[in-house]
Amino acid sequence: MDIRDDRGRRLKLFWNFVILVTALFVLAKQEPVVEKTSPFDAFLIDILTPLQSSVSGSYLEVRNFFQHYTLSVNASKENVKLQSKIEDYQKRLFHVSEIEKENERLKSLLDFVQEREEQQVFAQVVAYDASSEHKVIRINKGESSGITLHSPVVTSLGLVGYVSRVTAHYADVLTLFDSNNRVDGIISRMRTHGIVEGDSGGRCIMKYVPRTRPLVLGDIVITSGLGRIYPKGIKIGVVSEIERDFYGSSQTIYVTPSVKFSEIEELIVLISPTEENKKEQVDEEVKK
Amino acid sequence: MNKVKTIDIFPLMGITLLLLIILEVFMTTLFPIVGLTSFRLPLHVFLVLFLAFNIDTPYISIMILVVMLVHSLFTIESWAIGTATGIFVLIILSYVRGVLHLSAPLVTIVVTEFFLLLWNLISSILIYFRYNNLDIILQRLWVFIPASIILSLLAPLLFGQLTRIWQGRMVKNSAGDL
Repeated sequence: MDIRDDRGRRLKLFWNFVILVTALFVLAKQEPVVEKTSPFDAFLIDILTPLQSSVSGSYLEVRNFFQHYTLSVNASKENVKLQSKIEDYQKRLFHVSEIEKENERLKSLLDFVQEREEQQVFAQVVAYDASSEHKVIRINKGESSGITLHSPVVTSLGLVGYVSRVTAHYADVLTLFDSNNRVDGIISRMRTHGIVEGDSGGRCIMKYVPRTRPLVLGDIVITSGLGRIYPKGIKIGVVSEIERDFYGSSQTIYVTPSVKFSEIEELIVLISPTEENKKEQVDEEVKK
Repeated sequence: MNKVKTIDIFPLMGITLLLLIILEVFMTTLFPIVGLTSFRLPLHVFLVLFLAFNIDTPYISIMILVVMLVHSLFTIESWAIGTATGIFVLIILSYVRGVLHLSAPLVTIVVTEFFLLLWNLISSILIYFRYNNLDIILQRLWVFIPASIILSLLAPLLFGQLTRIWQGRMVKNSAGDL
């Protein structure tokens, strides 16, 4: 046997062993859903996310360009002129209607946030998670806007999730559609507690609801405020299916969230005042 | 199986990682825009399989770790699961490498599909041990199967392109520096 081959094989075994043990150790020790980002990771994410943002932003431009090209390639000059005029008007109309829709969404967001005492940061979705089994979205605001780990994220329709990873300018939001996310919820009508988890098919599952509680379809589920992440009273969704087995002490409730994962565009990150900020506010009030 | 000189690994890994970054950027932005909010191709797994099938270097586990670290920039999935799974697959592959000959497209498709499913099985077992949740595993499986079939069908083409990138530096059936 070649000595160099043998040395290479031993070196390979060594590295395999070291990295496998390190990976398993990290896996065992790592927090399941909250990741402290290292400065190097944050730096790379801050470099890569503008790329994602620009790709998603330029997609519509490229599509419009190709649509225009294929439409006008066989038309006469006059037709092209007229067509381009019509397209221009259509684009403007489309643009206006998009602005109108955005305006409505922002108005409803504004109405929603005026009712809340927490500081709010408006953000937009720029990318989705690279793994299909995770329901995570990346937003265009980060620590520089005051966002911290565990900050709850909402829309005017209801709860979206919480911030699970944050860099200076971007943050990842673990949505309530992800099975790693668990929210302590209550049935609004009956004040019955349960744990809401992400499930397949765009729904959530509410566990540990006593089977003696007579729930009905359409009951509203809201956050309970327990767990120190989500504020109390944010709408999660409505009960859409109830399963009661012949045995066991609890029933399984399927909840259809108020927000739709694929339709989230603008959202609000709620930032609770820190202990220091609270003290400063109290001091200011005392001075006044 | 091709040996690569250690010094050549750096530029080749650089190109491979750049390719991974570009593909991940497109997949995380364009797929959701066209309505595929729950569908992603596990390209990082595919890259690791390519490295494991084709590259003979003592530092292959470090290369797997680097691929997983880059992938973890685009997902909340821990790099540790992918790295551990990659090394387990590497160990299994070392036992069956003698009977694997990825010369025909059909063989490449079948072998790739087998190892993609093996990857999913191993990572699911690790996730089950870590989180004790069977539902996640079933959910992962249903999403992974169609993605793995598409990747397997593309495997002959993609392996060909990746081999072309690495080809110049591979030293077939002769010694590298180790």
